[in-house]
Amino acid sequence: MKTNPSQDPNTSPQPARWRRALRNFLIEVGIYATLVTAYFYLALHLLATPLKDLFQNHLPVYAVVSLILIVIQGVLLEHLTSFLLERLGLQRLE
Amino acid sequence: MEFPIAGVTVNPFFLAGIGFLVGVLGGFFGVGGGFIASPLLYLTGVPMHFVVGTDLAHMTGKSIVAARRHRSLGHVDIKLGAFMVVSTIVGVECGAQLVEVLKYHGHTDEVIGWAYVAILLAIGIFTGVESFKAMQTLHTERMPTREVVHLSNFSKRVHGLHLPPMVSFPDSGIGSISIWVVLLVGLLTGFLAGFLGVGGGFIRMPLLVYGLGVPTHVAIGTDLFEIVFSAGFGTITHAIKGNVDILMALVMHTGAAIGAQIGATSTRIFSGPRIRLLFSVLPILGAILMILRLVGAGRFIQF
Repeated sequence: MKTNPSQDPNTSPQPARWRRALRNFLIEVGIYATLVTAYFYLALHLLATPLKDLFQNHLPVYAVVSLILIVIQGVLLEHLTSFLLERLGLQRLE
Repeated sequence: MEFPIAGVTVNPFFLAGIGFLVGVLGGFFGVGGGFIASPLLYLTGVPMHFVVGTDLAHMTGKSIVAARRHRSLGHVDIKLGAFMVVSTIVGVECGAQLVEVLKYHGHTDEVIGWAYVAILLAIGIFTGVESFKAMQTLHTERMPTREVVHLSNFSKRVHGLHLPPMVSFPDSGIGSISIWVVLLVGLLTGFLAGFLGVGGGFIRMPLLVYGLGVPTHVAIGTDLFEIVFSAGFGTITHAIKGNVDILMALVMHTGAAIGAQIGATSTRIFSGPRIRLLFSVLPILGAILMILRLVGAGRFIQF
């Protein structure tokens, strides 16, 4: 069934809303995957040597740095994923 | 991609995929997902001691994402979580001490393993039956609510216990409850988590719902809030012992972050009983994996 593009999203038929949500979701995942891939090959390559050095020589410091890194990444990725999901996708499936 | 700390080469997209899977489960059910992530990590060739520590590290980051999302949806009772964190940590230590006693007497793996199976099966079957009946009640009585607990009389009796000091948790809809009950629930979940060697999410969530009468959505969010601290504590202790490959945890977390957002956001689509019915599959799955390991049919499955 074809839908009018200018139709209000909240009053459009359910299948159309789901299709739109799915499309938006795939776009979000695509953007996110691109960013994450860049992150793998840039940030982690830069971090590997100093972290290995800390792991081998200063384990307590390595433990604290590990926790700080995962917390910082947690907060940053929460902001990034919230930004992506609030713009598009699942947020509208209510 | 080579991970020099653990000394293994693993495809980072596979790690992110594992993270995504447990992220969705964690965000939706309020569990850590270690019972799925650990065997999968082990299959990739990561040494067992790194599996446990690395899983805890990625769980910390994932729980931050999921708890913040649940917080924005109004699903986290910070006051309740803060009270429970303290007694949970004490309980974890008590459970770990019991493991040491069992080690002294021998047969540790068998005792812990079968206790794990019995507890998980009990939780899974109880939650499954209760949520099915609650869904029937919602359907037949056409109730205009998303939350019904079939055995709500039990939590009402718990609320009726007058052991001062009494506290209130408005975010969970609890007007007055003895602080000792809250601490006891935290202690019990911590004890079982420490004894069984699991994160405790799939023990804590049902206890919050059936024991304290916390709505399912708030129980999930509060559980995740608590996992941030318990997993963070575990990350530090394991990292000091050289059991954490933080690079691997960071990669897993990239998948887990988006998975946790999707899982947490999806809880809005489902009613409380439906979430609990789906949840009931998890402990049963965990019990089956453990039975396979105990009878030697799944030598590759480690926890």
